[in-house]
Amino acid sequence: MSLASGVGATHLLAEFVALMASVSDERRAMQVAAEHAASAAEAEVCAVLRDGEVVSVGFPRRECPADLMRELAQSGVRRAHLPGVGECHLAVATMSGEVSGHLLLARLQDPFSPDEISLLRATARVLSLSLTMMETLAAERRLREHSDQQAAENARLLRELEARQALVEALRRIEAAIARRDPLREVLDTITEAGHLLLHAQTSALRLLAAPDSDDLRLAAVAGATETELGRRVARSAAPLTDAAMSHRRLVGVDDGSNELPGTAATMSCPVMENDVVVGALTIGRASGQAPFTEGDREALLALADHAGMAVTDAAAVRAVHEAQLDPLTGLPNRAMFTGRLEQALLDAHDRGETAGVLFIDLDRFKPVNDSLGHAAGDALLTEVARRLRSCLRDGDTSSRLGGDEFAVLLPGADVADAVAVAERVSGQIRSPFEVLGNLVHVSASIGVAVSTAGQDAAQVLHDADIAMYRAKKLGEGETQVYVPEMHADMLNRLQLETDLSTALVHRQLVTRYSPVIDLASGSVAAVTVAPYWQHPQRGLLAPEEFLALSAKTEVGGRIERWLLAQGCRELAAWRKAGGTTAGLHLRLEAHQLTDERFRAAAQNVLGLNGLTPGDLTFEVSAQVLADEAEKVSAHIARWQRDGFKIAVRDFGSAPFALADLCGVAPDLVKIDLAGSTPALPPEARRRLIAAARQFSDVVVAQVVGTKEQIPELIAGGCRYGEGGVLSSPVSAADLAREFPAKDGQD
Amino acid sequence: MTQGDSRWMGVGSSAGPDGEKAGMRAARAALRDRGDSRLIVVFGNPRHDLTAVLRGITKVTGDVPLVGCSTSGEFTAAGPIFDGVVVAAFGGSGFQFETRAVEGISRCPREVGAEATESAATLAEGGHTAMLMLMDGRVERQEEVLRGAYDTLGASVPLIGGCAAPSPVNDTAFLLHEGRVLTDSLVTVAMRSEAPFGIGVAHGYEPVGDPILVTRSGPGRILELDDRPALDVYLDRLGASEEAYRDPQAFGLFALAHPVCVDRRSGREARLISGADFASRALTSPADIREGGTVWLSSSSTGTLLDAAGSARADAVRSLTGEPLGMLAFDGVGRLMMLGSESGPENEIRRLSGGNAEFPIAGCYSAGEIARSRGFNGFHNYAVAVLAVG
Repeated sequence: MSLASGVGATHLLAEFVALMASVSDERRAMQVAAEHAASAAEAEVCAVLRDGEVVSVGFPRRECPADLMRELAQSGVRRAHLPGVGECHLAVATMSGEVSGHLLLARLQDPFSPDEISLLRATARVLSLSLTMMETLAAERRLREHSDQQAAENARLLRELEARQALVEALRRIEAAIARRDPLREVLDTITEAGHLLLHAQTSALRLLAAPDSDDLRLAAVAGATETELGRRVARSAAPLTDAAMSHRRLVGVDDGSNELPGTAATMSCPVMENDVVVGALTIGRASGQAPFTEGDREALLALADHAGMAVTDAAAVRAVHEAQLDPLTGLPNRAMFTGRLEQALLDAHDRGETAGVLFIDLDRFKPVNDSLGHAAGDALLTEVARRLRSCLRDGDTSSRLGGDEFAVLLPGADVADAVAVAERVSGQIRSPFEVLGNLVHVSASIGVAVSTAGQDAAQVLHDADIAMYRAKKLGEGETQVYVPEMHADMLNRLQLETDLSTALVHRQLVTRYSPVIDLASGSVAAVTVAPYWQHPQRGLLAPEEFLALSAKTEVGGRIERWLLAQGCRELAAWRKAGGTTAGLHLRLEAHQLTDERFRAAAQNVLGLNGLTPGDLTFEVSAQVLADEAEKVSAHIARWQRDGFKIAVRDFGSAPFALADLCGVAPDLVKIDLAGSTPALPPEARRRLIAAARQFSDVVVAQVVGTKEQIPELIAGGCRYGEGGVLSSPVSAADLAREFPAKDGQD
Repeated sequence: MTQGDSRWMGVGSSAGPDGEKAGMRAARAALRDRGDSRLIVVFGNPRHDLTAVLRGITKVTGDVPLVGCSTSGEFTAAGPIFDGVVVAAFGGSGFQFETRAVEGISRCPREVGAEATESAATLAEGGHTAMLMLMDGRVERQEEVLRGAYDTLGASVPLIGGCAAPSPVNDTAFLLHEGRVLTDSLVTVAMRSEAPFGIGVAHGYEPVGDPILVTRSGPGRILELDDRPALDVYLDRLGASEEAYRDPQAFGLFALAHPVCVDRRSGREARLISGADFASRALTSPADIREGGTVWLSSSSTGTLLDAAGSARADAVRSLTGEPLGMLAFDGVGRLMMLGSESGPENEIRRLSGGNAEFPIAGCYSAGEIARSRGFNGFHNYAVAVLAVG
């Protein structure tokens, strides 16, 4: 039967339209159209021919004679021989519109009826429309895909941008933390935390060398994993990726996990450098199933590791500066740091219209502790003093060890009352006994207080406090003095004195004065004690107490000592030569001279030049010097004695000392100080004091005999000699020479 | 058996209960001691252990290429054999056969159809060719298999074959290839002969009533007819019993007897309704019934069915130059139901064999028939498809 027009054709077309609706691919649509047309027409062959494209049924695969089919479609012939099929009837419909081409049917039997051709044309139109629509849709889809791709690309760029921004913000936070000098641990925590979050890591760990030359690593910071191992030391071999990054000095990574971070898959590690030296590595690991690391991730890790390096380098620098500015023993700021803070405090005080207080603290009796108990004890004492100092201060105050046993305190915003209150607290704290290496030690502090005035710099304020301390020291132990400008004048006076002293020697303004040592029983001069006096052009004759302390530790002081020795020996020799006396010469000696080999040599030289012997000289050493530096000077004393010199201990009974300190020396005589005690010693006490002195030497001399009534008592007690006070005033060499009777004195 | 030139075709059958023995007997009967066997085609009832059947046959045929399928019944010129084995043997130097089996037909029907028929390319030039196709009758989109074959072969190679019928026991259809029993497969034989092959196909069903518009359909399913649920329209129009509306088995039997027809240029073809989805009120069909098209309900009579058988034979023989050596016939199982259990099948066989009880015809009752000698279409239901070997 031939294809019916009407219902059959309509339904075949409807079927085809439905089919077209079910396909979306152009080539598939052409295939379906060819099959549908061939099926409907029971044709052996159908071909859809478009520009350069042929889809057909009826020929074995890849054997469609495309050129022939195209030629037949365009020629309009009704019959043709088709290879593999045979002599066929042909029907052609043209596709027009946006999609052009042909639909060609070939059937072995029966020519095509007009209805069939009509159906074929309708099919061609539907196909053309469908293809047009598909092309449009495809174009739209391409556009949409492009748009989607663009959107996806934009989204990716946005994500990248966000990630980069997050990284930049994290790095800025880290930099701020470094700049603020936040504790290193906190900065490193911030870095590992950033690595954990920004790189979507399961674990972020920073390992640093346990020590500069160590092969061990310690976990310095970790995020995303338990912190139980924080700080734990492991060998580098136990952290292979960290080790590799450190060894190769570059970022390394693995995709399949390392043994280093348990449970991670993709892992990478980047070295951390401190001043171009590898000190560790930052290692990041992702869980299995997470995306592998991208180039962006690697850049982020490099940046974080770089910042870890910055943090470590900065911390090392801070530590170095810190160490340079801190007293290594006490941990207190040193003089440089203290001065810097004082400068700042002065600026702040100026801005706020306030003042800043400074305490200058000098320990009393520190030296004996150091000498008797050893340096370790001295160090321990200083450390404890520092601790007590700190305990007296507010936040914002600064205590400092300036050197030796000198400390200073800065009290920003303090006025005089505040500063004195602190000074008293400090004084009270230091007065409390210290237990030092098992010994109970008592020291005190001489404190100078200064409060800044407008326009002063740090050096000036500290100098004021130093002057006040000096004044306090002069007042005795444990005293506190507030600086007043007059002190400065005193200080200037002293300075002037010091200057003048050096010229005094040149201008022969120094003169000797002698105190005779009287045999109390006979009244004869047993010896003379020589002392330097200064014939000051403006101030008149100055006693040694007024200038010797100033010059004691100066070069001038040494010159004065040598001058006194030479002058005393010269004058003694003159007296001897005159035959007026056989009395010896007593001369005060400071501790540093006792230990000065050159001075000893000079003394022997002077004696020799003057025809004297060492036995003519008795060097007086203060009991306090012996007490303070017993260990140091006792051997030297013995040496002097071996050379024939005599040694006297003076100030016995007034200077603070322990009897034990004298046990190491065997003085040739002892001078007891009867006037140094306040109130004056009662007779019984004087007797005991003499008895005590006699424990060290049978020759006891009473310094400064107060009254003539004491003389029999002294003699009775065993003190045979006396000087000063009621017995005599210091006299010049000429005056003394006149008094010398020609008889023997004590040895 | 008839012998022409050096070529020969023989058919044997056996109805014994022992598969292996049945196979041996049928094979011996087909070969009759003739040498130069080139191809063995087996129709075996799935009630048999087909492996045993194969073992029996190959004991006789050796390594002669073998194809076959399970059936809903077999026949020779002597009549129908249910629960039996029919073996057709082809021999002689004038034949060339290339067999192939490809699995996975349900997943990729078109691709499997294309691949399994590539064997045609290995045939020698010249002579006459045809492609024998045996495929699993339970798969959907069976027409796609033929389109795949058409993609490979084009219009130049006629197609003949049928769909393996499933076993009522386990609802599984089997294909036989060499020594193997396969499922979900397509087995092909590219055939070349010095003499022509003739193909005929006919069904004998006539449309009933007005055409029905397929308003919604999908692969293997007719969802709506005339904008109503397809199941209800189908049963209502045919005046089905109440049982068929709700009982799958009752519906199956009813549907087997009532195919729908689709319009073709050369007439209307019957299509099997293989089942129903009672929930969605849809009909299922292995044929491709397209949305937008029309279908008719159909009816047939013994007379029209028998006439169709005669017509199919006549069409097949018409293109031969002489008497056929023999025939392969694939007879839709739905027809068997209409022909009844009395003399209908025998009469049909007589029509197919030309009344010659010795004529070597090997036939099976199939779940779908393949016959394409012209045009593009080649898949049929409720038809009898005949290959006459010239």
